[in-house]
Amino acid sequence: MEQNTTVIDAHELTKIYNGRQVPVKAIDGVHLHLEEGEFAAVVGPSGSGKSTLLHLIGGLDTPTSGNVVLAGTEITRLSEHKLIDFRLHHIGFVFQAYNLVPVLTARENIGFVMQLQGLPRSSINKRVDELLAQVDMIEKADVKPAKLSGGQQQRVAVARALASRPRIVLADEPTANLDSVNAGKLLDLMARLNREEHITFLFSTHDPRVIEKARRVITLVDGRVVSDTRPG
Amino acid sequence: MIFFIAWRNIWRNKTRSVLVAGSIALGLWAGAFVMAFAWGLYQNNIHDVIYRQYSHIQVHHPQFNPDMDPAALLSKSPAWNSMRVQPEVQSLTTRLMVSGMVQSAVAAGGCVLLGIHPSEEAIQTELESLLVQGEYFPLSKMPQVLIGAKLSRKLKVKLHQKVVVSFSDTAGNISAVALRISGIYRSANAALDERMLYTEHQTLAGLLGLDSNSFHEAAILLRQPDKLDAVQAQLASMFPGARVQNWMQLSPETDIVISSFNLYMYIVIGIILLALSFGIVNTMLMAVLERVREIGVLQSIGMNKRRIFFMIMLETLFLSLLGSPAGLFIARFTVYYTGFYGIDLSRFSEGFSQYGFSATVHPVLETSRYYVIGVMSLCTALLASAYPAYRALQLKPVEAVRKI
Repeated sequence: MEQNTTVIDAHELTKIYNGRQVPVKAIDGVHLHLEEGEFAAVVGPSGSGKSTLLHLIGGLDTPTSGNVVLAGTEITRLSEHKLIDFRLHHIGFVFQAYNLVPVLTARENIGFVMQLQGLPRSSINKRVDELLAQVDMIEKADVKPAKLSGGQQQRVAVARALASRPRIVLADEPTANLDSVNAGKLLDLMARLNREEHITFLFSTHDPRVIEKARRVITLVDGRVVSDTRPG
Repeated sequence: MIFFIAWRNIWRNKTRSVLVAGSIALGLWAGAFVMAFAWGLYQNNIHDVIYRQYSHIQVHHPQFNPDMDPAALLSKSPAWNSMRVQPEVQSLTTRLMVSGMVQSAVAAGGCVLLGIHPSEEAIQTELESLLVQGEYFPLSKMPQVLIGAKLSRKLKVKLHQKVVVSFSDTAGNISAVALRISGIYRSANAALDERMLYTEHQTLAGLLGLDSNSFHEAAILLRQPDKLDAVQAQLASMFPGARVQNWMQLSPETDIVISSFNLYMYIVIGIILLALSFGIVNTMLMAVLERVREIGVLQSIGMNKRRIFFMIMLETLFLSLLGSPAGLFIARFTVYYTGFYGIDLSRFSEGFSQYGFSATVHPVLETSRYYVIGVMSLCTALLASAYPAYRALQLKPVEAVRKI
């Protein structure tokens, strides 16, 4: 697998929250570069800033200082409207609590992102079928999230994240609410999609099963990168 | 897809949505019915003003005034009689009128004595049908009079008793005449019942020393009210210099009521819709705040704020589209039913008759007004949803996603 194009480039990233008494530095001068097709995990204890880092990289939150360049675009300079549009086309999100739209079926949840992109119905249907097959959810395609198990919901969430053919998928504690069997299946699925679709995956996790699968492990402590290793 | 999501969203909490749609329906029903009832009440009033009091058009001598100068007379011309056969004219009549005093053995009061042509007046004002006692000008040697029930109570007189009416004649001399009460009438207008006495034209003409062609007042009832202006112009040319007035000019207070009706009614509807809008704001705000995380996720995956705003507005629009037609349909049915059978207000008729209203009201509302109310309701719903939709836009995706 070629890894020669930088898709994530965070420079001197700092995020300070104004706490009730003292400012809290959640991210403290983080530099981070990810090449296309990487399968990386951000690990660290609770409160180390993993989720905040993902939110900053995904443009869900704005840094106090520093900048983030994704696929050649400095998202920290984008207007709110352009940032939403950038996320729509370039970033897929997987959340710990799945966060599917409860009134839509699995099929509709996956297709929704492509509808927002304005794709024609025929190509949406084709892509949804493809993704449902990839995440092994064809049989549950017309079921709403409330009637799916946690593992099934997270597989649909992964399919939704991939629907827009993003270059980057950011997954915030994706296995935290899953049992070991479902967590294993999900990790295998994401690893396979990473290989087959050449999509860059960046996880925040403290789950050893995820760390074990990751090809790069970035450790955060108190908002700082203390180690950046490539196991195996 | 946004339409689809908005539609499904409103059914996430069925009870709440049904209650909101129901309150919209109830509010619109109440508004439309109040409007129809009030319009029915005014229609009664207009009907009484035209068919019991003024007719469509009246002609007077230019110097005729409320004090009723008996010398301010007009005379029938041959053209007057030709009016009877005109297709737009239903009926016409002439009257003599004097103001004076009526007294019995025990009481007295101000009055207006009208000299009428009984057969014509029976058509013109349906006077005969208003009789509650006695007969409508039976053959008799003694001059007769019809008096109102209220006046009979005030004078403490009964049928076949006499009253004395004194008035100024055309020469300005005081005349008095004893009239036997042949009938007692009761109209919807208690104020008129207390003042108006009716005798035969020839009786009053004789007392005033006038011929049968003389009159103080001519009244014309139209078969085609839309020809009002044309007939009024024709009468003006027939009686040059005379004062030719239509019922709106004769009863300006009724005209004011009609012209201000729209304003009053839309204020009432506006107040009802304002009350409804608070309910909508409350419900939609609750719906937005319950879905903070979901809205954050939608923003995270690329749904822009314009679409989120649109989605919340659509949800409100759908609720309104469920409630408004239902409310207006029920209102239409209720108005049709009560309009057909009437609402009997006889329990309150004494009070109504003081203001010239009949005791039975037939609510009525033009179809176009239902559309206006419907549009007002939709606009209110959209305006009311703007604040919850705005609140949804204020959510920051990262804060929304963090909420569990």
